[in-house]
Amino acid sequence: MAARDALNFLLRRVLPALAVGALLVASLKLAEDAAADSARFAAHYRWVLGAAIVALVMLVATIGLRLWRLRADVQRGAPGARLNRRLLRLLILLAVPASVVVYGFALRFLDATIDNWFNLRLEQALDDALELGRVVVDEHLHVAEAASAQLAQQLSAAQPDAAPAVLDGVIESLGAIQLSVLGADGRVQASASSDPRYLDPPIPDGSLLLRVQGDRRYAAAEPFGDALMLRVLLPIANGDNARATPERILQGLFPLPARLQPLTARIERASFDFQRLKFLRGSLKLTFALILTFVLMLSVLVVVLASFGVARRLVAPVGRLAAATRAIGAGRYDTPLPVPSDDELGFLVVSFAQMTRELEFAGARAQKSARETEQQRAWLEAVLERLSAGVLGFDREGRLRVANRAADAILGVDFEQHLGASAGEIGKLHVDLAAFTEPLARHLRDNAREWREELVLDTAHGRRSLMVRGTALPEQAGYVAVFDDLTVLNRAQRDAAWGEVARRLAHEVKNPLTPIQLAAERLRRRFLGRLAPEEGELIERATHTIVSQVEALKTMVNAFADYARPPQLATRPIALHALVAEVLDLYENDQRLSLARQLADGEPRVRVDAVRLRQALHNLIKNALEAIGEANKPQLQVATRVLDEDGEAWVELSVADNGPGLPADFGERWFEPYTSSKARGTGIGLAVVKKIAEEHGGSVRAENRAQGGALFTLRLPLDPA
Amino acid sequence: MLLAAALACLAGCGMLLQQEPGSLGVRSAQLLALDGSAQLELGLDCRLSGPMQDALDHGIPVTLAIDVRAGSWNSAARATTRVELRYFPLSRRYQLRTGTADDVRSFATQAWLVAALGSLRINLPAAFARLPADATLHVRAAIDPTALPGALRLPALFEPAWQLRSADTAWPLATH
Repeated sequence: MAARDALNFLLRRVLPALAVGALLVASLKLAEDAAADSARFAAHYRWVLGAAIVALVMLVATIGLRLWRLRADVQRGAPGARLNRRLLRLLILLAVPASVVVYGFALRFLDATIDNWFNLRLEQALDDALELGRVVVDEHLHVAEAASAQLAQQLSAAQPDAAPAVLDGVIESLGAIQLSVLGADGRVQASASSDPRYLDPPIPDGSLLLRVQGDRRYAAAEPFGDALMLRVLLPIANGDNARATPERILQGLFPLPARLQPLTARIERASFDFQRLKFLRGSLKLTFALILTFVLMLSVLVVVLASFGVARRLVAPVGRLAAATRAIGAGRYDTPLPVPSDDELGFLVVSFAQMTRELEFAGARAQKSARETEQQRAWLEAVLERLSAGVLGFDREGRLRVANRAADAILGVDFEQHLGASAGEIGKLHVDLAAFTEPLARHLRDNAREWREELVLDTAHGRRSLMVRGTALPEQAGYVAVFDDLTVLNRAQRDAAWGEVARRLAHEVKNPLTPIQLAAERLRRRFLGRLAPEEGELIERATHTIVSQVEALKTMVNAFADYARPPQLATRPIALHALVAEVLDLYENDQRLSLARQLADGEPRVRVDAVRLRQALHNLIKNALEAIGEANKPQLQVATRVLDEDGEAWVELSVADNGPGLPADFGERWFEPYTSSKARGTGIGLAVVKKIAEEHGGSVRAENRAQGGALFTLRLPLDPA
Repeated sequence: MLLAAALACLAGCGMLLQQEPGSLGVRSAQLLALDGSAQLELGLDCRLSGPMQDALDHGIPVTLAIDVRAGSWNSAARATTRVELRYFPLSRRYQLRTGTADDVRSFATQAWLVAALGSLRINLPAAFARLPADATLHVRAAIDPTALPGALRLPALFEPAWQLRSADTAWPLATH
């Protein structure tokens, strides 16, 4: 892994820097080469230039790639990307203009410097010196040509084979370095040399020979090797016919005087260097401009590339901090933070890490607290939902915040729809609850610390008795009102009391009745035949009254005994319609009443004590007949109905009559013993019906019919089997 | 400034494209084998571009590199000879120097100098004298940029006027 990192570092950091550095050095060497006219790197121009272009292309591509990545980072909102872009702009703005300004000044400086090399006076002086040299050379050419002309005349007069001797004889006196006689075809016929370096005469080419033939002379200074020589070519006339085509040519090579050789050479070189430099001025400027431009581009691109690295290095910790902040904001506290450095950024990282830990602890505590609160809330909600007492919670402004199911059931209101409403507003929507909401609103308005009161509500389902207790919550958090429905409790207490009364009545009253009856019958038997008829008749009536009243008392006491007897049910599934039919058949043939049956479809089955249920039905029919009395012909209607309520299946057995209907103050109290509107009633019939219904898990209710008369309904649970 | 540099660069490129380039071709090549030594009689068709002619008149030598080989590129029979064209202002003479310093010819005009390239004699290594009769001689000529002054080398890479190169020509070997 370390070797891989080292290789990666070498490839990504060291090599590019070395390559760019090498290219810059090479560029400078090329510039130096161009200025000094050196040829050390002449063969490497193409390679250096190609490598430089490749480096430029690679740099441009790398920068383009990084710019594209930065743009993508900015677009996707990567942490630190915008700061990176801003810092990059700043670094480039700082670096590039300075480089461009230096580039401009360098170009201008080079241009001015190169132009200053060319002085008009110097150029004129060099031209004059060159012309002076030419004049001197021309004078020596004239001298050499004149001497050569005399020699040509001498050779013309001499025999051709004497030419070598003639040449040898005059070469020293003429000051020539070489003399030669050439044929018309250019071949050497004779030659003489005063310098062993010039033994072989230079052969004039065809063009030169033609020129000699045309101009009949040729005299020019020619460079031979490093020296400047005076070359003279003259035709050698053939005897008297000097105008005829020359058959031979005299060639003479004359050196310049030794003192003039270096002078002319230096003049020529100086003038030529100046001319050459003048010609190369544009190319030199272009070369320097190209190299400078290349260096500028390379520098700018390297600066831009380095700016990427610098900006990234500076921004990276900030970006990681931003990413960590974002992650911590999302609740991920395990996000790694940048390694802290020993500068202000490091202090920021350390502080951020500490803050993160504290945030994590605080978050954990908050989560734990929230969990506990949620558990408490769930626990409280479960308790509230299972409380038989109604609970209403109000905030400090008296707005309803909490209501449990028992509250809904007791008051018959869906408080879920009234959350946020005050007690007064609820009372306006439910007028029948005014007796409950008005005192409640008053207590809340008065900021009562605690209250307790018993309220009675007249609702559509009858009169209800409520025990309401209220208290203010600590720290003015609101109020809570708890209320119990005492209606059932009160009724149960009354039922228990009546049971006790009936039991005592049966025990205390029934026992003396039999001796009274026996005593009355004994009196009748003993004295009925012995007394006078009037007295006997009196005894007869008195004892009869006693016996009949005792019988009546016995009947009443038995009824109370039945009511007070603990339930000993022998339940079994029975067919309700069959049982009803058995009972009704007993009344079917009674011509004094009219009996109608409206039984539901099917055969509902109930698990009941058949004897007790028959008794209940008998009591209901008897109660109806007694209510109708003698005024009308009794018309009874017995019906059954199957229904589902609160998820349970029920069957209702109802008995309707055409009597006067229920009294105005009819209520639950009328199902208690000894409550009757009839003169001869014991008041125990409906109480027994109610008791039988409750023994079987059912209920009984009474209501007036729209068409007149009363309707008593006995509700029993259907047998699930 | 960058915009001005870019415009100047574009203008310079346009001027470069307008320059009339020179031309160089191998008109004839004949190998002469004499007593174990070899000599090439070479005829070049050359036309110097305007900048080259100006450079020559201002004392800048123009050097042609003549590459001669027989057979494949990695064969032993291979030689490169340089022919230098030069002007001397004092004597107003143009000089043609082939190979060594001894083989020097001078001319009064540039036209004669260039025309002299049509009849060159170049000494070759002895390996060329031992070539089989069915060998093929490959000759090509080009300006030698390394012989140019330093200031001209970089522009010469781009300027068409300084691009002087013949095609690679093949000649049947006909030694005498």
